[in-house]
Amino acid sequence: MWSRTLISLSFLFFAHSVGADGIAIIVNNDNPEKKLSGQHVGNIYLRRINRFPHGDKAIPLDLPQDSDLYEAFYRKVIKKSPAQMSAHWARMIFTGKGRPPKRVANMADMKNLVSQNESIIGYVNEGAVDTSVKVLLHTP
Amino acid sequence: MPPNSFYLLSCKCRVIFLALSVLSVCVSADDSALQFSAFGTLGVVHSDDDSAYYRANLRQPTGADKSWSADVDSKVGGQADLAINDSWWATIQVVSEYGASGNYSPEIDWAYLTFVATDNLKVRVGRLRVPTFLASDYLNVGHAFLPVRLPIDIYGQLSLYHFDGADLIYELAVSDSYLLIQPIVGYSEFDLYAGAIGGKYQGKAENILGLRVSMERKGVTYNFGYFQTDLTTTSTALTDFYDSLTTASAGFPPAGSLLVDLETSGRKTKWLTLGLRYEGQQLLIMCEYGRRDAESDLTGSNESSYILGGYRMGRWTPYLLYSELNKTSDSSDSRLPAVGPLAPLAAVTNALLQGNLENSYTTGVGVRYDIASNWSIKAQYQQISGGGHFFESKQATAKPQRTGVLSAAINFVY
Repeated sequence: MWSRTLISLSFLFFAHSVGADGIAIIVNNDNPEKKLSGQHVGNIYLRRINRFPHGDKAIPLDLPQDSDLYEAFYRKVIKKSPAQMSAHWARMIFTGKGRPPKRVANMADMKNLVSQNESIIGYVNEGAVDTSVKVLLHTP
Repeated sequence: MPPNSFYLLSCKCRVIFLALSVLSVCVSADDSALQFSAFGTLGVVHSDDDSAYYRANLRQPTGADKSWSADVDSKVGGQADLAINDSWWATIQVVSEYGASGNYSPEIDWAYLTFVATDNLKVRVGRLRVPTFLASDYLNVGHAFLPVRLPIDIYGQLSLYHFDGADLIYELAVSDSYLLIQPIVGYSEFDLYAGAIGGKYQGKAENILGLRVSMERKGVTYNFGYFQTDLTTTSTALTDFYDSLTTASAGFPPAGSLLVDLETSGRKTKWLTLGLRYEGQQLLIMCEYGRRDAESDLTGSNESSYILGGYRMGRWTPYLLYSELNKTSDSSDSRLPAVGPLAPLAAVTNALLQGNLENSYTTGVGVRYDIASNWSIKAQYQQISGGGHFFESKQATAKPQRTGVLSAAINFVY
């Protein structure tokens, strides 16, 4: 009986850990940065800074707006809600100040593009991180 | 730069537009060098006063009365951005909205070349929008702000909304702070509408010089804006009025000094604005103070301000707003005698001075619902006291003193 309880508890724990998976900000393995502040990530994604701290160009990538990770990334890392972001881009695009990051279809495409280009910065669930990319920031 | 050069610039921009249209055929849609965007609002407005039309600005010839009007807020805009290379971009935006001619004929609101001089500095040349107010450069994009329309006590009197010229954009982002410094220089021509002076009339703003300084920190944006211009407004009725004053001044010199105070040819007009915008994940606050100083009493000087607050609850954002306009220039003049042969001219003078930018107080309540990331719907009710200049009388009747205005709008960006 105890073992059954343990099994169901571990199931619960497992399910919980997947649901609350952290967010990893990822770059190419050849990118010299070791870590990046949330503020710098925010400035890159809001198109206010277009370089990494070491001076090379930074190209941000986004996930589809209807994905859970998109919403979690903007709420936790950029500290803005989806409604705030859509109003932000309406202001930026139609005053000629900048355009939103290019979108990829899913995390696999995100990782794939990051692993091919030193300038690209992206975000994935922590569980999806592997050796093809480097993590500069973890957000729980 | 003389006005002619700006004219040439706007011609160049038309050439760019043609080039963009040609390119759009050659370049596939997913190519990132050329991008298209669009925005629009479909709005309906109802006023509980049938003696005058409620208007969103001083260009619209008619507006809302007891029958619903779609003209007050509806508009559609399209934009093309072309990245020529890493240093040069071209942008054009065409907007169709209800204007002084009483139709929706499209107007080029933006058409400019951007030169990226450094990471922090851009130079833009062509047709640009006046950016000195907190929200004047995205005034048409309903999805970008909370209420149905930005408070007209400030934004409705900004008739000069685009200009041909140049600006510099200096941007600096350091950790959690963002600084923007944007000087402008240019020239503009525009149309206005006022039944009292014969309907559609023309405005010309020469020697526009301005500066915007904006700073954002911890979700709060502080905005300082100033611009000045030599403003000319002309209409047949105004010319006749000035001629009558000139004639009168031959036998009655005070009419000459009155003419100097009123006439609207190349008169210095200054706009100062201070604004603040806070945007958290739930709470939104926007407030602004504007001060308009016009050399001509007929253009009129005033102070205007508003405060707008909203609270996001998921897709719903209820909001409250208050705005006012206080006239600081004279509403009457006693230099012309109210009896005798000049009495009719005195009456016209006082009618013009009084009807121009009267005091106005507005309270409003509304709600915005975000249907999706690029669609929103809004509804609001406002109670307006005074505000005669935004009401276009149907006949020569007194303008409404207290009006309820109901508005609903659907906005999109694409």
